[in-house]
Amino acid sequence: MRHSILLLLAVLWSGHANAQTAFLDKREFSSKNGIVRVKVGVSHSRKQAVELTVRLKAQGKDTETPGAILSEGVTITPSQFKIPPNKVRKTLISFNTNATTRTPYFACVVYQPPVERMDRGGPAGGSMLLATESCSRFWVNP
Amino acid sequence: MKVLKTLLVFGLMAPAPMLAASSTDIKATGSAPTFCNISNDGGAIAMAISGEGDKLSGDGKFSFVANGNAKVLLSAIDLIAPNGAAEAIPSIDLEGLVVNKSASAEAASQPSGGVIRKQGAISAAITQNNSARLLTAGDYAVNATATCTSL
Repeated sequence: MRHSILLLLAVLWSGHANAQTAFLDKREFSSKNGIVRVKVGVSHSRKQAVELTVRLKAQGKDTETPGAILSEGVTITPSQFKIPPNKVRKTLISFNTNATTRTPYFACVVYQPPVERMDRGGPAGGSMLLATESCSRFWVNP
Repeated sequence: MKVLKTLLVFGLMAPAPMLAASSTDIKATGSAPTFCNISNDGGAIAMAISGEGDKLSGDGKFSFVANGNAKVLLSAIDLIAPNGAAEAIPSIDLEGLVVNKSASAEAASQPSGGVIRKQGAISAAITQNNSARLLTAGDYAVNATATCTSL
């Protein structure tokens, strides 16, 4: 655990990675009575406090791709919060699973940049908004 | 007393093994979790019309960092166009990483192995796709999500 925190601090202090990050200490979990509990460390290193959203995703088209957001039977505490830069917020994801084989899930944290009014130029104008999300894959064993 | 002297002599004659034994006292272990992160460093990107009136385009910047196997996924692009607008195609290009030109399908990068720290340009565009080769006048917006996944 101490080493994870040291690594996290090293990353945050590197001055380049200002995105949000979801840290998992473990990548393998077991369900107990069909319930899985996963602790996620969430952080970012932007210049000011931002609001982040944590969500759980199922497998997408393959085991390396996050798919649909899972909400039924899923409790995330807290799931949305404002956090200052370079602080780590522990989040607990608890969810039901009836998986009978080793199954991948994805713990994700998303940052939605604020929508800003754009200056229009000429007969048509436009804006592009790119939200960014960081996911960590973990496996659940029945 | 004789036994003690014998042990002392043996100890002085064989210092190397005794020192070697003491060198195993220090042991350090650690575990670094794998992670990745991706950021849009410039926030919303303003797109300006081309001289031909056939394209809106704008640039921004992104950063991508990973310390193990990771992939980047660019979601299907949500294009918001004026009512009744002629057909147009949106595109988002994360330089050297992944490009998506689809409003219905996501696009994935090649997996990155080992450590990677990459910074590049985000190029966003909306290009006409109609016989008049023009974009209908009005306001447009393109929304998408870039997801990096630590594997």
